[in-house]
Amino acid sequence: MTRIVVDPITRIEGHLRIDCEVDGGKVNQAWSSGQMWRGIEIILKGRDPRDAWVFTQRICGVCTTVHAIVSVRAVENALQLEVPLNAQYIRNMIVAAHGVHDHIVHFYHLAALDWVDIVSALKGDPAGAAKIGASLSDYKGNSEPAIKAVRDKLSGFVGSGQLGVYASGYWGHPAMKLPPDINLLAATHYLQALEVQRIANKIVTVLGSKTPHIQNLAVGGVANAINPESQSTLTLERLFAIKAWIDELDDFVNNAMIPDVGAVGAVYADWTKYGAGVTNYLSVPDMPVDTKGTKFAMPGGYIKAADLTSFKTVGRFGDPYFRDNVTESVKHAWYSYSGDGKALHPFKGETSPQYTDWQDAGKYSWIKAPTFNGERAQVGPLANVLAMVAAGHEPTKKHLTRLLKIASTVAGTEIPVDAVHSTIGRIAARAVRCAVLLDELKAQWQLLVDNIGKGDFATFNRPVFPKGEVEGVGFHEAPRGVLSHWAVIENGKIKNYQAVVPSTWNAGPRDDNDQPGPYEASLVDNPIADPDKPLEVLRTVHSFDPCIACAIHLADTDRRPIVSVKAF
Amino acid sequence: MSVAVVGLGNLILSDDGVGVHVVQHLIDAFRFPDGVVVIDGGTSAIDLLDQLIEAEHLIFVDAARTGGAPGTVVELEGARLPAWFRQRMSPHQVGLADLLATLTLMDHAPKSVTLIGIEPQSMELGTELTPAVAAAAVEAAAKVLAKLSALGLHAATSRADAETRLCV
Repeated sequence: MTRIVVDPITRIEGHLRIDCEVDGGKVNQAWSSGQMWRGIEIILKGRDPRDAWVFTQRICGVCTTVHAIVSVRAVENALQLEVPLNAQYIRNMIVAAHGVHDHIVHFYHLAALDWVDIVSALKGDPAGAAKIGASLSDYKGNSEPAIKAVRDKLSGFVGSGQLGVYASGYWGHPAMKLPPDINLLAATHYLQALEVQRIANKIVTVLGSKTPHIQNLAVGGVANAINPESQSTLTLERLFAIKAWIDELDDFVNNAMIPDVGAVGAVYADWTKYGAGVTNYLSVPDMPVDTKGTKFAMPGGYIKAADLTSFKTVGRFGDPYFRDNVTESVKHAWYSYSGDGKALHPFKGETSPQYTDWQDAGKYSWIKAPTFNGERAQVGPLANVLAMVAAGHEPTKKHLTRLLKIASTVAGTEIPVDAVHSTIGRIAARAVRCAVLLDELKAQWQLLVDNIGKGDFATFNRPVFPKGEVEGVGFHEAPRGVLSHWAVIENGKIKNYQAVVPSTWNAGPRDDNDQPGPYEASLVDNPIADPDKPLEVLRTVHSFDPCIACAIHLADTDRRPIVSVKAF
Repeated sequence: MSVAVVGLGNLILSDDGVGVHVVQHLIDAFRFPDGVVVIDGGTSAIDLLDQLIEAEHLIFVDAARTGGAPGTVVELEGARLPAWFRQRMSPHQVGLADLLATLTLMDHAPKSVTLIGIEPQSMELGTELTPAVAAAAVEAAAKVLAKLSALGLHAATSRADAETRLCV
């Protein structure tokens, strides 16, 4: 038996350690451990709830926007405060553009290097790569000269010894299976995606006034002034600039990203057998299209044991089905709870650190272990896509069907919907959700323009804080899944504040019943070709798009070897 | 000529946020000539690409562990910088090193990269700087202004006490 320790996992935000016990060439047990400690609530206690979002968006450098949005939603929920339609649409556009940006960056710049061999791409033939590209879509970036220019540039880069971003890749690993021409096509899109992600970021910047860390939010709405006559406000001219950017994103996502993910998924179809892990899926609805948060453009809810007919919807902001069923366990996390120490609801949440050494059967992580209705749940684009399919959301069904059709054509065999319960399925679902978000970005743009056209310029309702105690939950279907903030407010000041973030759901350790979390469960049975280069572990962990700077906090990282292997 | 001054760090981890405190002070108390952008970068990396891609010179301001007493301000440039990235003296550099490699890959490598680093004392949860580091933030801001002047770009003071007191 061999024990692999990957610490830290690279190409993620934050500090994560993964331990795997390997026997007979596959993983038989795994542990996921957040290595930094958390506690935004400690900073927020006693503060004005209207300011909380300014602090919460500093939790992480990647997910700034999402922590801002969900914080104002939590306070609005506590006050039962309605939000003007324009404010909902503007927030929704920010959320959609941020999500598109995040999903593009994740696939091309964080996850793809586990599947695409950049060094092999240098051996690719531009004519061959262009031909494959043309067989998948009519994307304009697939021309032979464009692909040749990328190959020449990469050759120069790698030849000069400046591997830089590529230094941590396992090039030439036996589990790398794409032919050189497909590697070259994907590498071409990798570089093009660097330009494309800037476009998505521009939309966030124009609407949010600034990135990173948007400035335009307020509890009760947004600070964007709308006046079609004035140049200093959100004008039609700016809105039409945004529309042009959306069209550019559309071309890349639908004609490059979806075909790429389909083709990569087809070549790695064996990875549809690995990585299912926890198949209870939790997501929440998003893109509210009324002032009260009771109607949403994108559905969400709970699916038990991969059975889509079991889908139960989360219907509105503050829905008791969501609000009353979340708890967090610290049996295996470095915290202690008062009383009997059993899992606590976030409104009653406590953050008292209790560090022990690493204990396989005891405490081993700074991340708490959340459960829904007492069960472990996987969150993220796969959970959301499955919920939307179960709810009959047509755009989701359309994009998922198209991606599976491309994969089936490349594989030469039918790839069924059930294949998405897997490592590669999580990556496919993220591409599908990216395309769905882009459609929704267009729809929200139209809703905003139409509403302004009706003469409605309202963007803000003033919050009023009552005497005594109120509590509220804000949720958001963020790029990595369900994000919820839980605020208890007393006499207009924050009394307790807990953030249950997507990577808490996915990266959490075992729970009160010793049930493993999604990362841990999904690693079991993964093949390991070479324990010194555990590429397979990275594939499964990266498929969740870990971002754990918010699940936990600061590291002081001495430089150590990233992978260590012990035989025993 | 275009220069980006980027403050890095986490405002909710006390001294870790010193780089952001410095740029917030610069934005608040000085007016900069055309061609200079001063950015609160937080702990972001790839998200900054759009704002940094046109800059010929990059000046980062960040907490940096160099072994000096808390509040020690260092200025690193050129050959000494890769060591800073490699040693990962603060928690942002994995992303930042990738960002700089990406700029090179996109044919937008900056002509110079400078780090104004401040030795932190406390990296605990909190929104205030420790006194030694707050004092050093004024010194770090002066170093940024001196660096800009050396490039022929002079900032104007918009507050009488801007050069002696941090306003954040």
